[in-house]
Amino acid sequence: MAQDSQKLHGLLAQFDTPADLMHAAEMIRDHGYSRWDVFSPFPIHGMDDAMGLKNSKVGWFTFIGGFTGFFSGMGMIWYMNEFNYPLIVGGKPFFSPIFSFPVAYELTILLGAFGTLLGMAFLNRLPRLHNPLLKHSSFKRATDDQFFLLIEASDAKFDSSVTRQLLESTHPVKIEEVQE
Amino acid sequence: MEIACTQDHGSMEGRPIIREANIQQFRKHPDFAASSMGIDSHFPHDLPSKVYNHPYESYEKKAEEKQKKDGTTLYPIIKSSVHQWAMTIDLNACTGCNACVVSCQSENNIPIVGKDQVRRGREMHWLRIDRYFSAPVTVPEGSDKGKIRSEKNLPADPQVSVQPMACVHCENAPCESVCPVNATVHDEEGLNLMVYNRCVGTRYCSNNCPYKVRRFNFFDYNLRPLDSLYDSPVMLDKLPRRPTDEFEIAKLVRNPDVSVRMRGVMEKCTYCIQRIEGAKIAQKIKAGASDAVEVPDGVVRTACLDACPAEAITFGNKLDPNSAVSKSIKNPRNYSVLGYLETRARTTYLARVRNPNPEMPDYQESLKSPYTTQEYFKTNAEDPFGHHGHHGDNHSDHGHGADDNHAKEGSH
Repeated sequence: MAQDSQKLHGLLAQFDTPADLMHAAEMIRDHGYSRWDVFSPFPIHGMDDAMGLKNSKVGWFTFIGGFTGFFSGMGMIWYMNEFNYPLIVGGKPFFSPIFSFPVAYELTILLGAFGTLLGMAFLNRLPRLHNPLLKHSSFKRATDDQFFLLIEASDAKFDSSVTRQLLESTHPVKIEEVQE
Repeated sequence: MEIACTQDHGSMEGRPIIREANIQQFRKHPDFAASSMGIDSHFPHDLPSKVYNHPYESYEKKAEEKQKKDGTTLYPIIKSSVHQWAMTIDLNACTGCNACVVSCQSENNIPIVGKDQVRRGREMHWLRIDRYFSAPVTVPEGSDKGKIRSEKNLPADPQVSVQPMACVHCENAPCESVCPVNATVHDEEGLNLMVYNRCVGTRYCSNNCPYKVRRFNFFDYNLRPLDSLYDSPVMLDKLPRRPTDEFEIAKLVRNPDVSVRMRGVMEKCTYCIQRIEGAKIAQKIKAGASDAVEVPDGVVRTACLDACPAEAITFGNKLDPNSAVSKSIKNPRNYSVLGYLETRARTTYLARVRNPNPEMPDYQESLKSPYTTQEYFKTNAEDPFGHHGHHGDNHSDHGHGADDNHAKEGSH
């Protein structure tokens, strides 16, 4: 085949109903695959559990961003007012956490938002210029009436024949290879 | 007819802004002004520890400690150990002649704003003379204390008290805390500086000044003739302006040592900083490599001090214990206006002592105590010369029972 020279991206299983997809997902989860995903025209309740997804790690990025923002705001004002350019204003101390709070607070929100956005992009491996799935002709029905499950070839447990057998045991409509 | 007037309220309403005593009262209580008048006289002498210290105190210590330890310090010099400027104004000597106001106006390039602007309360004098009238207090028996405030009748023979008032250079300056751009800050010698280039004209400082001594340049008073103040700045080139020759002459009036402020900028008394700096530079040249950079007492003379015919104003270095101003601060009559605000003003006042002559034909009983003092007593229900007015001072002389009541007597 002309496609031999191309790299395998993954195996795509197609299902007719969300229930089939859910059962398939549970089976793949139990077999310990890590780089796989399901696609459906609408959100399916319970799919998180069926896929074994845990809470998103984006919160940690938000926290680190906010933490950095708060202390860089406080630290900036402390350094500038105490050492860099001290001004006697109304006989007040050069630094106080009270008057520098608004700045620190704003920076907390700003860097927290940056952390969230960049953390999300990092965890989702974005930005990505091209996803091989999008050129796959039958995958278009993922936005219409079909349900898909993709196991990526980059998964550590992926083995062309074993994985295909496993997918077949979940009774999909069909199984296709997706090329890069 | 409208009269352009800078002070249309003539009464202190019993507040101890100007503090006065008769000579007999003064002899019994030389320190009556600071120790028995005003809210600050009730402050305990040993105040509990503060929430924070003035940088003048806290950072000096820090810098010293660091200097001792490392030989160098990250902390910049916050407080000069050579000069700390202060001023006193002797209300006893002041006659309210306004010479200081005029002198200040010409020294500091203060614009003359015209009658119309003064009527709108936009006078620009950095130094003003407050003038208060007072009359013998008559309160009908059993009436409310506040009654005397609504006295509408003009007194037949009022007493006048005058007080020159300019920026008092508070160490805890309320104007500084509210400036969003740090345009007014303190320097290391205790001056409340006004940085014209930073000022954006919010006027918060003026609103927050308890002494109301800050002046805002609403228009280009220095650039425009008074009759075209309201013309649009966009059309400025097309509008009639000062003829060039007039403007050139007007320029010659300016003091070259003082910046001419444009519109939208707040300004106020600088303690004649140009004269202070001039004296400091001259002293440094004289000192050469030696350490004698301290300006000798009496060399820095502010414009108001120079002009005062009564020598009521004293200015100098507070750190020098032998300077005239240090001695004046130690004068028992010395007090701080609005001292209870804890502004730690650098300009303090010496209370006024009156000496009415009982032998004169127009002498009357009511003159036994100054009218303002009677007003203060009636409004605050405390006799500054009675037993209750004193805190912490042990006056051996308390045998003035008759004196205790004389204010009351005088008023009836």
